[in-house]
Amino acid sequence: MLISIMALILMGLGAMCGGTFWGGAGAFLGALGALALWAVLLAATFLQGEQLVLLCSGGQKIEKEDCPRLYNVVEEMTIAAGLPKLPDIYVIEDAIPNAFAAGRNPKSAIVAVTTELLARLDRDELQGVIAHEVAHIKNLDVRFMTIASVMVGSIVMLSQTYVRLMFIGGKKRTCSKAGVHPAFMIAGIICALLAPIAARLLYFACSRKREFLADASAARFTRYPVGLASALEKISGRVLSSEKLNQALLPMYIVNPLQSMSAVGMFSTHPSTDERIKILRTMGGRAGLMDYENAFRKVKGKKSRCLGQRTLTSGESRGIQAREANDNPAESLGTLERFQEVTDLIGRMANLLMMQCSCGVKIKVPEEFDQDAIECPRCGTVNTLPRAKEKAQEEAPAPNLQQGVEQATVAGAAVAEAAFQTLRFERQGKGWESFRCSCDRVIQIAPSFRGEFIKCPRCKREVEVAEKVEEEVVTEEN
Amino acid sequence: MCPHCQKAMVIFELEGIEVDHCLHCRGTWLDSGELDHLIELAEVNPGCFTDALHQAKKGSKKEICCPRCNRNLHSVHIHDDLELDECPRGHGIWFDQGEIRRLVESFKEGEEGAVASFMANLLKSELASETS
Repeated sequence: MLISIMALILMGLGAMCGGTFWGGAGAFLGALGALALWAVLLAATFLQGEQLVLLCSGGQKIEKEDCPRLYNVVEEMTIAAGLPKLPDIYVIEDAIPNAFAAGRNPKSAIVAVTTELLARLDRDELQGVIAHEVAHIKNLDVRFMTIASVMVGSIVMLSQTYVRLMFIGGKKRTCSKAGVHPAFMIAGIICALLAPIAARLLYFACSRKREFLADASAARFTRYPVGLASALEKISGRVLSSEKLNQALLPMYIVNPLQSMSAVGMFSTHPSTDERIKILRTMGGRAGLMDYENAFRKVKGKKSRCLGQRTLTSGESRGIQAREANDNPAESLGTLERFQEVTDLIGRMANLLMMQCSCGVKIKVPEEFDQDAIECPRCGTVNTLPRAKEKAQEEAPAPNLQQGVEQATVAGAAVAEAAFQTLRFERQGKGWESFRCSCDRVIQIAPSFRGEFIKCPRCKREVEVAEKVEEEVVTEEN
Repeated sequence: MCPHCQKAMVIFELEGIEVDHCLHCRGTWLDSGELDHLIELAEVNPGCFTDALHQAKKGSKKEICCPRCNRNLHSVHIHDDLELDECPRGHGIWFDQGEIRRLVESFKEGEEGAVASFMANLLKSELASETS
């Protein structure tokens, strides 16, 4: 609905441009041209939209072993929402807790969270936030907002070009072509100036509505509205300035990071966080869409709808009981554990060599570090940096030195063989471990790694990973 | 990168808090995010130390640069007797060799105390060898 108004504005603007320069037939051509411009821009964003978004924010893709807690929550919410595929999960290193979703359809969607979000939120809260983002994917908000924002972009572009053209070439044309009515031109300029503002207002209105819908869906997916509410409280309590924040990405975040609590004007992309928390908290033990709608009316004190009749009647929306708070100690991590999890994750993302000193200090060494040993500043132990060791040649060297012609090739093969001899690394414990390959590249092993070989990302060599042989335990048992 | 020697710093982590430490000049970088975590974990009244940092007299521009944003660090004087180097954009604090020892000696309580005791614990052996 709103998007068609926007499309009308765009076409009208195009028609105005065309009409001013080429008269009546030009208006029609102009409208078509404006749509074509929008389509081209849209195609460009769709073709590489996800990568672009991530480039802007500097995120890194993570696997299950990097952060099992996050991965697990995303899996749960993917199932709850019935998405066709698990979205790719990205982590952005940032001191602001936030999250966003991107992608043109549920099959190629991504969910991104910042490291600070992981460190701040417990499992229930994280679930709420992920559910909100997954709801954006499920409701096709991401696609919708991309279409809408590109349309705003093309309207702005068109009107600016138009105004510039009027100022530069305007005089000449009015003199030479008497066909254009001056009133038409003035109207054109006014339209060109107003159109971008109108388009932006519409865009922001769309965005706000969709946030409420995502909140409602999140409540339904998790059956625990309080989780998202307390996550929003935590997030909004820590509003900091961030240099990595990108203006264009603002509407994508779960909470607008630059917005102060009270400022909900016509221009804000997100509804006030206060309001959202209040609505979620008034749902009173229920988690259906209808319950969200009722809570919305109670808080707003209006008869206005926020979700729309069609959404409310589609599927089960009533009578979903909220679940109890999750207080299974095995699943919940304390603040300290969460900090450790996140620092490990950051280290992993930065390709640091991680090792543990016997006194409990974790030592993380960047790849460029040039020494082979580090003295622990706490206990004074000298820790040598682990390296994958060449496997001792157990077999006797193959009988070589055959006849003349073959000799050279055999020698060449032997050299190649030596270079690709298997390296071996013996694991020390069960946590994060890492070592240097013979090419000096740091290779990390996640706690959940169970394979026997790991491939060096730089030289492509395979390194054997062996469990530590626990001799001491055996002797004790005997 | 160490702001002094331009060499790679090693990260030491204790109880979920990371500190960048240069093994050449024995200087230490405390990221502002880590400072927040440290204060939160120590459960002391938040704000004193950070406020003190903000209100402290901003000294001169230093030659050395912030390892995060590469801007020149500014020296700040806390409680007259301690001079630290702070990033103008709030990325963190740099302690030269010896400054941690002075921090540990002069502060025992409150937020500074929390920071000091953490640093004292993490750099125990190094501080001991420094004084002897």
